[in-house]
Amino acid sequence: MTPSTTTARATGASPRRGVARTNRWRLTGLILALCGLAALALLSVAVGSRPIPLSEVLDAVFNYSGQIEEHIIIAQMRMPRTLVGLAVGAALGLAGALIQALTRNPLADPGILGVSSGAAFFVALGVSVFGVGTILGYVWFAFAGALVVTLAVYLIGSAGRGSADPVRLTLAGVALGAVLSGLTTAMTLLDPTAFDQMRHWNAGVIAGRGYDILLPVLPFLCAGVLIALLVARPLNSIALGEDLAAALGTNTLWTRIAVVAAVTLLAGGATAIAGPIGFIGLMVPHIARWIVGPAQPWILGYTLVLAPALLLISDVIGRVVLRPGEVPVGIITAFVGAPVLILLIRRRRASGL
Amino acid sequence: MSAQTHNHARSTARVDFGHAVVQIRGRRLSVRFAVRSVVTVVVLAALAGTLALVALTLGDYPLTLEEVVLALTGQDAGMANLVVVEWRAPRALAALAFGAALGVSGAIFQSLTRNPLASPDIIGFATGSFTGALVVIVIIGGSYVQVAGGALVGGILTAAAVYALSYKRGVQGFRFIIVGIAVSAMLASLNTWLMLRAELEVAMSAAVWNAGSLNGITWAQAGAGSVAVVVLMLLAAAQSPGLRQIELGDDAAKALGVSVEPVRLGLVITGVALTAAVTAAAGPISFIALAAPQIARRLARTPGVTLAPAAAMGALLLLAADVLAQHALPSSLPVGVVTVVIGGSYLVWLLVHEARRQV
Amino acid sequence: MSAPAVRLRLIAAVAGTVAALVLSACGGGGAEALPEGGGQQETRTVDHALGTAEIPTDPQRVVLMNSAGLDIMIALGIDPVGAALWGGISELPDYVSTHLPDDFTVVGTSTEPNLEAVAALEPDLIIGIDNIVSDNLSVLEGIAPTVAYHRRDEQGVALGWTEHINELGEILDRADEADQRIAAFEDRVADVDAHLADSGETIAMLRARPEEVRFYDTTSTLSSNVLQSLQHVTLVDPPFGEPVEGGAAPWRVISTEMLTDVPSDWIYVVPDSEVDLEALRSQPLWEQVPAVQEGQVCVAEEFAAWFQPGPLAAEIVADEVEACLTAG
Repeated sequence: MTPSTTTARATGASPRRGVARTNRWRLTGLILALCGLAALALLSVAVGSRPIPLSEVLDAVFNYSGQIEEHIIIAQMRMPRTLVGLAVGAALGLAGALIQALTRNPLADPGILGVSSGAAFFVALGVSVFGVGTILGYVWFAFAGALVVTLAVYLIGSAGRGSADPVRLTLAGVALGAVLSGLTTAMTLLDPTAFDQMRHWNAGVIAGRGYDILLPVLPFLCAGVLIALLVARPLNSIALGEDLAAALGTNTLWTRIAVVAAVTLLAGGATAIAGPIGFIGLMVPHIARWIVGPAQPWILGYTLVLAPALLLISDVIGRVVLRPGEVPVGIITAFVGAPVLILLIRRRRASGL
Repeated sequence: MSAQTHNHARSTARVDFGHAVVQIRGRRLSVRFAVRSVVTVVVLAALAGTLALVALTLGDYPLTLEEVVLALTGQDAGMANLVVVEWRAPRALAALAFGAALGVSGAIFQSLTRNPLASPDIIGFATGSFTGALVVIVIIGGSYVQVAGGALVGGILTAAAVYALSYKRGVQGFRFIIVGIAVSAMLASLNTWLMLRAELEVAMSAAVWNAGSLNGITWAQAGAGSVAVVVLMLLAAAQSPGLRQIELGDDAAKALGVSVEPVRLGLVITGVALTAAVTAAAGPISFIALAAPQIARRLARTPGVTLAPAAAMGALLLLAADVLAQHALPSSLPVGVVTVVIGGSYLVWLLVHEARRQV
Repeated sequence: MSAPAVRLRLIAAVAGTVAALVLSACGGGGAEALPEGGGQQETRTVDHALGTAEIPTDPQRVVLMNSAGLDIMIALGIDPVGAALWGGISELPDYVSTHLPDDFTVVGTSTEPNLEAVAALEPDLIIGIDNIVSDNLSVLEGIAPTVAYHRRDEQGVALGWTEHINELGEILDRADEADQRIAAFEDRVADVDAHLADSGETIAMLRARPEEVRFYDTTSTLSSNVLQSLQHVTLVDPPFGEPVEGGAAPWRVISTEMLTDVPSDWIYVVPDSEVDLEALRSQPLWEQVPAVQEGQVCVAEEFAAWFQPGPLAAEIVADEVEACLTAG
């Protein structure tokens, strides 16, 4: 991570244009991506460790019977899981796009604000100190951790003055994240039960997450999406540099606060539901930027569609690679995403994305 | 408001990342800085030496100071000798040597990238060596030496893979970092999976390894590690003129007739090898490589990070962290847990402190 | 886990042959007094999983490197003065700790033993399972004579507590005590069997873990060998995945979509925690599982007794099993 140099580079590189140069092409691409996402969602409902023929899948959707095992699997397991995947993927991607725009650092991901380390620390506290006994309990501890730690990172990053600049925010996130991860390791090494719970929570799982987990968190995710869409244009001008943004009449301080709030709600909510799922927030905005260039509203739009697509395809792969067992989705995302990112960066000219 | 903020950002950037800016001036004033550097190194080394002696007297096996001295002078061949000479001494030595190695390695990487957060981690070395160690611990169930070998192989293969994947008519910094992140992310996922599949006991001992621990280190391990580290540090010292020239920037270095790429590669290899030696022997102990050069730079008031103060600071930091890790809590912890907590807290303090000073 | 199996198999094969030769040559006694060294204990030379050792015939201060073996030690009439915690526990289960002396000391964990604390206990004998002792064998031998017992047999299958107690009884010259405990266990199992109808019913062991459910096979030691030993109710293997080979983990992870494929009449759930039990019970398919529909589901209560096999643990498990299987 090179906050100073990459900030400079990203700023320098931001006028680069994407593959789709006109809004017409961008819109066509977005519609295509949406179709792809719909197909993936269908795949995610149709594929699982138990093979179920497509006709039975459709039957379960349109002619549900609570007595047929296959119908229960489709309606009560795969459909909620798919919806959770859509929500978590979209939230993580959006949070990543926002944080990259805010810090003007194309290597930033939501974890840089301490979201995942904060969530993990609080879940570990919950397990080993408060004896939290339900998955829903984990959800609230994780969410609280994400909120508290992001706030702390923001306060440290802005210590001594009104607003936090991106470099200091990044440093504060890295530093506090390190402290918390160290404390989490210490706590779990002293408590084997907590260690065992945490190593599974840490993998990032959407299997078995039903509406009972999704619905309580959904309002926060929606609020995050709303804020994100509202700040898309001001962010666009911030990406051009703060002086220019000020000249264009953008209120930098409030835009920053709004972005940090949105990132916390989105990434915090997603992490609360599924545990820390890495790489989506880092990578998908890159792809979006590669397609549409530096226009923030388009980047956010594409991210909103491509991020859940990456999550769903990873989850489907995770269900089939080790039948009859499953691999947690958080483990697959990097294996699907990283090669794409490497190919992409190798195809670009030297000056960055 | 916004212009003011921008100013602050710049001044912060100078405090944190600035040595490239004042480099030329630094060269002119190098004599004046050198005195302070030497004093810093001597004081730090003296502190580290004293702490090492203190460490010999601490432990769960009750020994009086007199017994420790008798054991050290070879006049007690019993349990005191075993505890002090065979257990505590190699552990203290390892902490000193490995700490120094991490300090130097961090200094090299921070100089090369002109970035205070740089360490061999950016090329996925720690992640790769954990993969290697995990494969040995979880799948093969090997001994200390095999784990060390696995970590070395894993780390080196990863570093090589990152270098190769980012090579395209030369290695360009940004591409290098992105490829490093991508490869690390894949390996981290693989590590998570291996940890998930392992028995709890095995997974926990792997986690201890991954935090970085000096527990149970013997003379054979500490000795071999120290020799490797000393050789590599001498190699690093020999390359430090090249490092100074690269610090000026690629263009300036080229103008001076320095061929940048081979020098850089040599330095990267030395830095990675230092980290590799420590990682193989004790696991990936984090934050010493990051914090030691920066603290030393502030103490010695040098414009950029320098190797000798970074080494002395690293040795002192790691030993202090290990003493804390062993004795501060009722149950001992891996030293890496302490270094990461202390190092991170230091960074937080620094951010707050420097912001206050500027207002 | 296959490579260590190969290595251990070799070691076990060699050690086994040597042990057989030595044991047959020395006979049961093998005790020999040291000719000199006033005040020193009588010692005997024994072969163990990782070599040979000269150990006291009547050890007074025994330290165990894996707390799971405490159960066996107590059964053999030895009260250890310290042990390193093993098995994902942060304190010893009550059924073990009530039998231990007041000055008993925990010396770290099996993975990170506190060697200075071990030395400070001034043990005259250190005992541990081979895969744990092997990391620190030379260091431990510097403190006190150290013996190790086998975790796996020559085929790489994890050994049960009856094999462990036999091996340790042999090493510690307390084979009679070992035999008695095994006989008592067999009586207890026969007793449980007698209370069950010989209806040829089957039972499956599911372990509810964080984010996963494991289906244990018949080679596992889960349940301290109680369910494995019953005659009137048969323990079943997972019906899917490759057959479990020696050295592999004795379970298959079962996807929650496959829960209805658990083929047994009974299910014994061994949960790692209340959360994990609740997570399994709230699975949408749980109510469709045949055994659940029959109401033939049991839940392990004293987790440590199921997971850390030993004679004391087996008594607890046998009581639980009897209470649950005869209740219906």
